[in-house]
Amino acid sequence: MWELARRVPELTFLVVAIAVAYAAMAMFSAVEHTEVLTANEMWLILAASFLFSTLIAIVAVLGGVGGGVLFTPVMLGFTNVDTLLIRSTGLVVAMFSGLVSSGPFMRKGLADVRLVFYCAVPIIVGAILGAKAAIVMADAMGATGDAIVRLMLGALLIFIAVMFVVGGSKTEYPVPRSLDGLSRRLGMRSTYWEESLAKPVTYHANRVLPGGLLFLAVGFIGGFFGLGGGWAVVPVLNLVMDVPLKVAAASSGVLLAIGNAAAIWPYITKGALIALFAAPWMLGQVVGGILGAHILARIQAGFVRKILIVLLFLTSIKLVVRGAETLFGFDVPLV
Amino acid sequence: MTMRDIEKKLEQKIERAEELLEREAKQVGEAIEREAVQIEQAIEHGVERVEEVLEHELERPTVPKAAVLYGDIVYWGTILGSFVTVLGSILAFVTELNYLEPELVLSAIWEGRGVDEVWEQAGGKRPDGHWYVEHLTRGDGLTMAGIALGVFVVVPGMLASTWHLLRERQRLFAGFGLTAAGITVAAMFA
Repeated sequence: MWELARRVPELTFLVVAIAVAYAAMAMFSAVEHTEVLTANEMWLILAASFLFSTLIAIVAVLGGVGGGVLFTPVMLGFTNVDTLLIRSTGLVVAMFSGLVSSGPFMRKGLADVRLVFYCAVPIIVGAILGAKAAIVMADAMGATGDAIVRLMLGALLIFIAVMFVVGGSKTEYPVPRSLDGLSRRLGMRSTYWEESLAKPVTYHANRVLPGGLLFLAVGFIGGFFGLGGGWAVVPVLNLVMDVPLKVAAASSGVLLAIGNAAAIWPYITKGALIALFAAPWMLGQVVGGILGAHILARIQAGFVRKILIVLLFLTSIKLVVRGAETLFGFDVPLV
Repeated sequence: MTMRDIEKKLEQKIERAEELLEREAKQVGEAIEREAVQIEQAIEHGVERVEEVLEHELERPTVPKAAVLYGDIVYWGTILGSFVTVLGSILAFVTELNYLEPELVLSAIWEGRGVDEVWEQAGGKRPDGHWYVEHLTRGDGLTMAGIALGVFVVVPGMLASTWHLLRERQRLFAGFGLTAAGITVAAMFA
């Protein structure tokens, strides 16, 4: 831990600044009690949000997904917070660990900047359309819209969890049998240094058109539900576009940050992202994102992945039940 | 003992000493030869290893400058945005310099109120635009500006990277980068 603190001084400064900030907020709070919450409870919510966000970021980095996949369903399933606020904050959670990991991934040559820019265009367009659709639906449908969102998200989570279970077919270094015409013309050929093999690995992105169309859909779903798209970006890059797994994982974080950066502006300008509520989640993602990237090599990622699958299944059940209860007016005990 | 005997004995001793010296010199010579062979082998092995490392280093692909530029701008911009957010959060909680009442905002959110209600209850009107720019001296305004800065940094990152791709004559990918940056800027003002 000390070694990490010395090697990444900016992380140390940030953690100290956050600790001082929360201590000052506890000791010199000018916030008054309300009928709903005491000043201490408000502080506790913010501090717990920061810690929970840090944990989510570490698990998300180790599990190879964006933090939004955990944050949004858990908050929608287990709290009363408005769905639009959760989804806008979910985009913050989904993008900030990707933002801080962009530096190391790009410097190591693991993320491919040309591939990222090509895929960024459809994912941004999809994400903005998704965010706009979410705001329109929330304004037009109210509680019914909330219930539909919970129900659809529950179903989507079951799909994602199943995808993780059967996702063992990913190939580390896919070799395309033949390149399609457009891929050949775009010439997205690149080489990166594979540390584990101690030699360079060359790859050629393939099926760029279907890949681009899939990114449009991934962007829309991520922007609409506030999930980000980490759960889908890696499989599309690896399984559809024949990009090596390591490059796919690194490019996924960078791509998500770009896609969500565009999707989040409609939420910000329409007041659907509340600064005080989102701030601890953002800070937790930055700290957890850096920590997760550094401890990645020392922990068995497979174990974290199993925890992630269990969490996704449990949360999906809760979401489906909550959505169905509101929509059809019945009550399911014990869930 | 005659003088002749003494001379003879001395001669024998000298002969013996010369034999011993010769044997010793032979052994030392052999040892030196062995060591020289070992040193030569070690040097050869070292040269081979250095050549191998150099070969690998030459094989190691150079990271494109466009990628490094993007990564560095986004990384440090995010860290800067985080510090601004920390500062804003302190201001919001320990002073009364806020656009919205923090206790009312948090209570309304925790109660499950919608976005419109949160803004109305906390003493403001739901905005339509970059409301925080006019409230940078207030806690919540500064906090929002920190988050917005962290989100915005991808734009200068993409533009710097695009400029470098153009210099490398990678016009198509520079075009993708410029389009992505353009759409993101458009989303800021849509």
